[in-house]
Amino acid sequence: MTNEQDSQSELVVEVLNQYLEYLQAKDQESCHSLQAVNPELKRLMVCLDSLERLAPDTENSSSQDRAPGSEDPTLLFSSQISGQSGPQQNIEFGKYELLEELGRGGMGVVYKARQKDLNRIVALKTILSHQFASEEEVRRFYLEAQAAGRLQHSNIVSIHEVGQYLGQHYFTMDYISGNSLANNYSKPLSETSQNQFYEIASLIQQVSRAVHYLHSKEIIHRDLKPSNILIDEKGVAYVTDFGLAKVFDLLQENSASEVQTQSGMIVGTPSYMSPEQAAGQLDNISARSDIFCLGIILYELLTKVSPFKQNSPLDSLVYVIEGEPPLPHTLNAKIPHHLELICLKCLEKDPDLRYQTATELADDLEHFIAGEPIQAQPAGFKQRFQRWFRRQPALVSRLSAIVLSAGIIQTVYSTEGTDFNYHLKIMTIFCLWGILAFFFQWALDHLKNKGKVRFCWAAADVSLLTGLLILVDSPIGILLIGYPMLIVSAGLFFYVRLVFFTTTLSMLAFAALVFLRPELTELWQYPVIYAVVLAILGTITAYQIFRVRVLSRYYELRRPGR
Amino acid sequence: MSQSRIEELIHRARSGDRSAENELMQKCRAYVSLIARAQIEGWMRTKFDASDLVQQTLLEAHQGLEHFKGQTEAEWLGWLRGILNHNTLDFARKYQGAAKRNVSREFSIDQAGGNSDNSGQQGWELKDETETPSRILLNREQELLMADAVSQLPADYQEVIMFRNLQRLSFKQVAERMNRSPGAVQMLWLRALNQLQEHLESA
Repeated sequence: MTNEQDSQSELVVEVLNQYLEYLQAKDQESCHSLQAVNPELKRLMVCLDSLERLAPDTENSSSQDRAPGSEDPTLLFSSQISGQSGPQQNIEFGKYELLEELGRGGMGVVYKARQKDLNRIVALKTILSHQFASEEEVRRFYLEAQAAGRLQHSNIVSIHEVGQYLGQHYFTMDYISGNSLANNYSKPLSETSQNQFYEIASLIQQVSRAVHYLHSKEIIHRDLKPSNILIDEKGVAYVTDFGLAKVFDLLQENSASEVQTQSGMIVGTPSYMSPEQAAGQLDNISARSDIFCLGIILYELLTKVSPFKQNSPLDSLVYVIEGEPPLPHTLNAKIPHHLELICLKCLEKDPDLRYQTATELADDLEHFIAGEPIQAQPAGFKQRFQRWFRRQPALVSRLSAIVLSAGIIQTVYSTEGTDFNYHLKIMTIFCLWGILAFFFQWALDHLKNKGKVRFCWAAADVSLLTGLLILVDSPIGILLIGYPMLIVSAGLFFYVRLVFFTTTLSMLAFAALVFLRPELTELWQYPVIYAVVLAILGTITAYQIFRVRVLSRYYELRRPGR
Repeated sequence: MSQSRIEELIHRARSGDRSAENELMQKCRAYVSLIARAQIEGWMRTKFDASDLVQQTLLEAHQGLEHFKGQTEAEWLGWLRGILNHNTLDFARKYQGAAKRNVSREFSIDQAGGNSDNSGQQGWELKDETETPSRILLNREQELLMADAVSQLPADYQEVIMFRNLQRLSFKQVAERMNRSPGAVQMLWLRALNQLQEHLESA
């Protein structure tokens, strides 16, 4: 009992500490997502928020800047570097001089630095608060540096040196004066000329060549995203941050225990993952996973929308695995058709349908730029249907059920010729159902309050089904399967409340049905059993959603860095 | 509720109501003291009695009250923090002695050093402006309450909050300072946070 409580509190401390670290690194996005998955800790997090507001602000020139004899290098550097007002002395860091802070990532701070002996400007990356870095983090850091140190390509940021100074691990790499794709690309995209699309194509082409080079060295990047792609002033793209690169030979050489820790985690950024990565199918991660990520980046550059970004990491993961973003041209009609085809080919869920190598992708982009025919073909019927289903699963599944049932009824009517009026009523309900499905799908895509739309949709489904069951000929016993189906499919949205809502509504509707159709009460205990089973079914479905949510929270905790 | 109370006090103190001013300063004492300790203990790495600094800051606030132009609680706290900042800078300079430090880096020397009303006022106003906009936008109504709540905690709870939250030390460092195991310090922290939250909720 006490043990359980202890481990419970440990977990809480872990979450809160993670939250505080995000807070202190001013990483609001991560704070929000952590708050979202831990609603029960929200109050304590609010507490941390207001404590943080009391803490001396390192950005303002507080007395910390001038702190005498501060022995903690991390603290010293971060506070001194970030005080940017006025002339300041640069910080000595071994044979480097730190000039300014360029950015902070999941595990490190990047500085612009001058290497004194060679008098050149480099980028220096350190581990944030080194005292806290676990062995695992240090190992990942060196892995990144080692993997990158062996690479030389005109579109890759070269690594110069790995080392340790005052207990702080660091490595140095080329300094690229420019911006990452994450904060750079609002500028050229705001111009509306066709040229921008060729620029984008050329950027992705350069990145693809670099990625192909990585692949040829048996390195899979696994964390390609806009913030890992730097653009210099001339518009040349550079790939950086091999933090997650899976180095094949290293894995084979090292001990089994290390392989375990390496493969046991889902690493990466949820909205920039390939489906096989998001699903944790680590054996299936291949060079083609990086192609998918390139597709995500291309999509984002074209539409300015991140295709798989959702409110919570879990939703992003689920969306990457089974969702389909809107077609690019629906977001920006100016996007060239061929470029869209290239993008969609990268975003195929099945790796076999994507470009098989990064060179193929680069070549196709080159063909596009040159105005030549491209390899990517418009999707066939089957693929289109699949994509449609992934994009609007709720609509497609309902339409399929409606069309199939209506088809069967129509066949029976045509062959056996039942009463026309009766047939008309049934078919009208089916038509109404279909039209409503389209309407709700439209509302889901265009209205802000998606939650309410889903509830309305569920209510409409239950009412229409009940209407149908009231009208149809006896015996209707078997057709009661409709209610369980509605409950289970409500679970697909991952909202416990929606499931309970549908279950309750179904039970009420069933009660009404029992009153209207005396045949159901011939044996009074049967409807009671049916209602109880409905309730149990709803509870099971809700419980499973709850479990998935718990796993998601666990995942959020284990997610290293960002 | 307490926000409007503070604003009312500011208003009355401005129009010369001495008892309102006393109450206002009294309400801000825990706040100023907490921040002063966080700043100074943060770099001295030892316990420090900040009461002189708090006294000095509140005194200057009293003397300079006519120069305070703001209306809201947020502006008021920002102003107080500005005065406190230059006092801690002053203190830091005395503590280090004049040697070693590059004077040009300490750009606020005239602002912070001047004692006459005029330059002092200028200094505070400048400081007030250096508040980052995001900080001003954040609602500050909780800050006074929070500072009060912290000051009412048992000593060891206060200490762990001071180290981990206000001085941003890692748990490992906190454990070293407090001579306890990291695990014990973490549990202490959790209990302190829970108690803080209860305080705030009942406030």
